[in-house]
Amino acid sequence: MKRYTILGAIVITFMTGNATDFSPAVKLNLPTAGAHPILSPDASKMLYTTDNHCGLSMVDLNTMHTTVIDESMAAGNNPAFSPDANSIVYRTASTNDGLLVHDIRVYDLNEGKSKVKAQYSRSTAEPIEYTGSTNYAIDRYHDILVCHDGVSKKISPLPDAHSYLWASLSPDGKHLLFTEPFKGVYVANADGSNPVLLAPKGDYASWVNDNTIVYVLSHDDGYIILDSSLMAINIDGTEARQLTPNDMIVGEASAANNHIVFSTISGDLYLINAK
Amino acid sequence: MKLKYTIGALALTALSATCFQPIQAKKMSDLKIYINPGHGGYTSNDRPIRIHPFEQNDTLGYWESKSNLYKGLHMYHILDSLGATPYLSRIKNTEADDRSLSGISAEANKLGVDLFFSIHSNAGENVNYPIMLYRENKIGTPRYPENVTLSKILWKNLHSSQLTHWTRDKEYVEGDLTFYQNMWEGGLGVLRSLYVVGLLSEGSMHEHRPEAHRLMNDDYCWLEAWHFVKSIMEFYNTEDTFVTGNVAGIVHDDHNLREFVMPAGFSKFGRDLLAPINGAHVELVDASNRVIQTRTTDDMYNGVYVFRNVSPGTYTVRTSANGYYDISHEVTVTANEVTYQDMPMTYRRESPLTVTGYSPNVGADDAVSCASPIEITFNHDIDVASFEKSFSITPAVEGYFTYSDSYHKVSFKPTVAFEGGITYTVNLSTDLKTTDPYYSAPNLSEPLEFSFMTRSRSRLSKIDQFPANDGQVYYVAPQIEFRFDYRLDANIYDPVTITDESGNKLTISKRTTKSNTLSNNYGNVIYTLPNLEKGKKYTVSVSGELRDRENLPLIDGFTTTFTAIDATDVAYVEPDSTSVFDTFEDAADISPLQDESVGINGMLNSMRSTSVKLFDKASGRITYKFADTHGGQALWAYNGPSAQFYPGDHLGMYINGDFMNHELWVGLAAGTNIKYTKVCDIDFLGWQYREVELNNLEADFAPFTLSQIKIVQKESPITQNGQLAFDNLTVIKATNAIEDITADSGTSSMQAYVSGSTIYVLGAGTSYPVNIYSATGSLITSVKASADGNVTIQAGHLTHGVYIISCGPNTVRLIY
Repeated sequence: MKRYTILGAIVITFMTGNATDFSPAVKLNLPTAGAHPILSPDASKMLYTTDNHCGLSMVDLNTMHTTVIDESMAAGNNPAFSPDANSIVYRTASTNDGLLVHDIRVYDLNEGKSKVKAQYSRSTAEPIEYTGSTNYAIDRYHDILVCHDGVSKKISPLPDAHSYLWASLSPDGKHLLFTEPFKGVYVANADGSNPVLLAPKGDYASWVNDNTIVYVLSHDDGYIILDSSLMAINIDGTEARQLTPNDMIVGEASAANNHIVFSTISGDLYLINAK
Repeated sequence: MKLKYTIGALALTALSATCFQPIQAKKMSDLKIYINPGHGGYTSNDRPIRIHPFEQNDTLGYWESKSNLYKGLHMYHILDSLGATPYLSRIKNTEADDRSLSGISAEANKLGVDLFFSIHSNAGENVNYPIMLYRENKIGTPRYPENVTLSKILWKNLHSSQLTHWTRDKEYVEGDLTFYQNMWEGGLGVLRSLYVVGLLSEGSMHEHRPEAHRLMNDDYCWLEAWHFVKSIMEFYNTEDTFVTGNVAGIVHDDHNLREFVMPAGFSKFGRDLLAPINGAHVELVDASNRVIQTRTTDDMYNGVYVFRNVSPGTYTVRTSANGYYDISHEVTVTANEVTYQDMPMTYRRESPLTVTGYSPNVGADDAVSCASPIEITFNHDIDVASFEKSFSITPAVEGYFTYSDSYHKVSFKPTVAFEGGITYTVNLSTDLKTTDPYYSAPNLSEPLEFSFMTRSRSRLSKIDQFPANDGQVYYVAPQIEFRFDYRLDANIYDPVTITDESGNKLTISKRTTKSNTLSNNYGNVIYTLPNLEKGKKYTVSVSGELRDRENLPLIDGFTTTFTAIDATDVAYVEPDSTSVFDTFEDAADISPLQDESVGINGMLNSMRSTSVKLFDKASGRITYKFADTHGGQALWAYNGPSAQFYPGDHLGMYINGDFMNHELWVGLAAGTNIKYTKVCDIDFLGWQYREVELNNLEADFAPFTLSQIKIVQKESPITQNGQLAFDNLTVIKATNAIEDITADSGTSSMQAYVSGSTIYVLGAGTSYPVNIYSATGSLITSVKASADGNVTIQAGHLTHGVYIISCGPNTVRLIY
């Protein structure tokens, strides 16, 4: 039995025509509060960390079976599925004589075991680089590393960018999504050319499908997040809309294969289907 | 369905809150540190604080976003110079720099920094101290213990700064969820999803104005950043520490106050009371008399100077400033420390000290208030000790001095008040001097003598009060009023205490308490008290410190007591359902007779009031305003349900009085024949029951009905406006009136006698009620005898006189 709860308070306007339609947000009844949800490429599984941002858990969204993969610090920060979705690569954090170090671990879904892939180091690569994927993008502060058909290239789509965050390639590999923290959310060609501003502010930008992205738009007073909403927009800049009610404060979000998962800052996790 | 948990087969250590290892000595060059200057830009959430001379929101003035950035940039450069790898979340202060909090922490995580450092300052106008905030998993549980350790180190080092004035010396290190509990959900946004060591530093209180002025100084921000880095060194136990030290201090006037150079106001303490000196030239001179560094204090009214990165050794700090005598102090510099040396400078007062004005300065025939202060102003700031020695007043008056305008002005106020009708003479001798120890002629150039005469009124006087001493007050929403011969000062609460029988102090409702509502500058205060306990006694004490608007004190305080009563218990005869003829539940039933009224200012009013009522939901309410101090009559027509009145009947009513002391009359009409009867003087406040015998009705014209209500003004200069309310009008029939009773008639052995305030009736039997009548035939009360045929009646409320007791065919006369 799926353990979903549809929140009546969340009112979603279904769009028609060529626009992506979104279902009401469904609350996932999980055994613990969570944060940083990440969907598998086929959206059948969701990774998440605790609301204390520690450890990594996985839930099968069909059975709601939950697996605690690791309890280490930072394990839930940017984990990545392998292209065949049979393993999950993640990295944990620790300190070596007070200095931060990361390792790389691989969880085999078939064996239900994790193995250390790379020992603790001060210069550990991103998990996605260990997945065997040949098509991905990684933001690396001052530039973005784009790997297309196994060929990697460092690019900086905006000539005067301060830094980049949340870079990713569209499912069809044709477009690059990224955030410049001082400028906003952009979509560009996969080689970084023709960057187009989609939103002047936005965090956790992610692909719903080849045409639509979601991101989290928050406002704060410099200390506290006052409000935060899940937003969706087509990459041609059309059909911008808010997917969560004003009284819900969204934490993090990600999307894949026409599904969206997001957390609230109180630790609830939700699922939205797109079509 | 119970969910199944599967733990990964690889036994990975649960690191969470204990994953950090003990820190061994290391180099600064090993460290990667993320610096987050809080806020960004010049919008409302970037914390602008208005400081002199800027207008609110002037970007040249103080903004937290700006001082945070300055500290962050300095921290970056210090870390960079030490070989560490710093990152900044912003390097400018524009609206685009107002980044999302989640994005900042995500960037720090992504960079894999060892430390996250968020720079802020806090609000708080009348306090000033650092606050260190760290992330909590839940209230009281730090996410990482290392964050607490670092926070404590940083708090200690920031608090060691002597450039500022701290108002708190107790460590203030707290988790974010604890700090923001009951305020916001989620804690600090930049720490929420962070998994590296991190904190948010509230370095000081920028709303504290002297601190805001300091935060405008670049050296001041640099020194805070230096303390940040020193704390990081201490936390990481780095091999490298600062091989140089710093010299810092405040250049300030040694006597003149801050208002000497800028507008006064806002909180300030300690050294911050004194005037900082803008534009002072400060030199650091080594033992060979070589000038090592120079500084010029900025024009932001802080006096801050900091000599950065000074090699250890002995130096001299020299300071010069326009209008001041030069000074110098020797200092010793120690590596990795700050040497603090304030530079208090003496202002040159190289002209004769003279009086520039004084008051009271009136003609011989003019008199001044007995509360008038004596004020003297000077061309220089004066020495306090010599002033108080050189000042005298005859006749002698006990009083105190207040200094203002940076000691350029002195006020003398009598502790109580000057005596009325007295001529006082003030003398100021030439012993008075300035505080310039270097000027050859610092004394007052000419002695001062002046006189003034006071008016005869020398104190505030009470002229009336409700309740009278030992009086009664309705216990619900009770009000008491005191009246005085002049309008009162605003402080009407501190001099008054109201206590119950146990000595518990009652809380006066400040929201509904009113003052100075009387005419012609007379003063009053109407205190609203909490509901009282029926039958209990209360005490009101008003101290002599109550003052009027001339600042004259009451001097002779007073105490008064009263008893709480229930107005509905006071009726002489408990009204039954048939005797109450108007409850005012549906309508006001009263309408102004404007044309028939006399001496009215404006329009009379009447209304059904649901806010002032005694029974059920509403009362009938009237308001009036007399045009003059005397001669007014205000009339209203009564047009409610009618009741028939015959000679000897009584009219009862519950009245919400206004304590205006005017007379309340009722007019009863039979056709065009109207008979007026005075009900009472309205000498009370709140609900009371009043009953009047209608003995002027003529039997030949009866029955009469209530036709008019009239207020007859009593001459008074203070009570021209008022309002009354009425509830449950009652007719009390004079049944079995005196002409029908033959005293001492009947054949039974019924006897009546009085013992104390109790009437005993024996042998009345049980067949008839026992009725007590007044001598004029009014029924006072009717009671049923007990089974033994006897009756006991509590008669404490009856006035002494002749009463007739009737029971069936038997009647006896009683003298009470």
